[in-house]
Amino acid sequence: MRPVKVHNPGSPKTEAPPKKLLELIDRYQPEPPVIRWGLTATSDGRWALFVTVPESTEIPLAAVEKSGRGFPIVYEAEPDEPIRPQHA
Amino acid sequence: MSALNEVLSAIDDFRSDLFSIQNSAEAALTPTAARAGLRGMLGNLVSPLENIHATGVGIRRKVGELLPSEFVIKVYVFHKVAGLGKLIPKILAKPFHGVDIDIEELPVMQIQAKKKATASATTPAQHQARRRPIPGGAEIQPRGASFVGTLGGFVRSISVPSTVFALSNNHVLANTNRLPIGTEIAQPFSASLTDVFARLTSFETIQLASPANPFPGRNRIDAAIARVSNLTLVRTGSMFGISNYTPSLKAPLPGMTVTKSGRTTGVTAGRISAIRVNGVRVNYGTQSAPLIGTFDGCIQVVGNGGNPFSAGGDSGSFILERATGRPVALLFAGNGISTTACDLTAACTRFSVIPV
Repeated sequence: MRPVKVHNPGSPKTEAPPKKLLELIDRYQPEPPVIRWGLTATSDGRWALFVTVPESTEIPLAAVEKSGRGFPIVYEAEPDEPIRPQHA
Repeated sequence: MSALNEVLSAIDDFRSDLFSIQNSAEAALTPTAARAGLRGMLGNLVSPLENIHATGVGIRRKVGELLPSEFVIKVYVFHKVAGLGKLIPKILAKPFHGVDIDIEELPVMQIQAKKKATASATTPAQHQARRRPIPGGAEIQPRGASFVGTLGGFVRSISVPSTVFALSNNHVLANTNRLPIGTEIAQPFSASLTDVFARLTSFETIQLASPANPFPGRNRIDAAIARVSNLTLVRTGSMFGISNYTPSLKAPLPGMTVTKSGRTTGVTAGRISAIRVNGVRVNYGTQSAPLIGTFDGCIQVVGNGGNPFSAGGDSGSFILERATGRPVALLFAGNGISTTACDLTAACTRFSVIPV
């Protein structure tokens, strides 16, 4: 399975994310090939760990799933285009 | 009697004024209106100002007859109420910038058709034009620079509330750590002193990796403020093309529907796909000579319907929750698919300011 191009989260079922998930994101040491990581919600509104990986990556990644401590994990494809400041 | 070009040049300012008044509807009521109890006269409408649903440029209609050489600002209402112009919003009670105002009733079925045709509230050219007073969402730049960005919005000092600043990005107001404090900020793209409205006051230094410093610190914000030199030049509490702007910070959430007013793509809508995003690497240099800043705590936004939420020139825009108009993030980067913003609360805390 490949990561989604653009993740479309649902509205979180609770206003505040689980404390343990916040701690996980703050302390997370990204395993290769994870590039960015953060907080999102699944399409049905469950709080989840968000990671970006190269588009060609076969997911799920065992190491990331282990780090995720049972929280849902959303894998999004890291675009080829680099992130640039948006002045013109 | 006004010519077409006179009305065209007045209509944007008129709309901005009307939006502002609609956001503080009670303040706009004249004592006469309050006494007349217009709320009751308009039935279920919450405020007399909600009776107005559209504006435009048109030909004067007098006693049912069109006068083709007389151009006016048209104000369309759900229900025509006798004496509306005299009773409510002061803005409707007299000519605006010398242009007469016609109030016309437009039935609901026609409104829906019209709304479809005018879905895009502003054009990029309007965001790039010279605007006085200046609202959030307008094109700005360090005077004479070769690049432009967007004025996110206005903020005021917590310790000295009368001091107002323009808030945008470091890379817009300070050219990525390069410009000295006191640099003149112009609206729009201009080398003229007459377009200066603020001076660079403070910026958060962006930590950039270079061969000499391959492991710099990480960043949380790309932000800077410029003190407004003359408050009559700006319109606080106003976001160009967004009528419900409410200058009160709100925390971003995944799935939140958002909007922004920016210099290049105008008013766009999108959805927050992730928050607290760490490890975002942004190249402030070139492909051959990269200058990488790594950001934590970012907000990621994707545009609605596959459309880009932002493009080059939109940097500095406030990202607002669409439903409430409250600012949730400060746009600073993107890659054509998603837009990256930083924590606006962190930026306000850094400069000890709040939106105004």
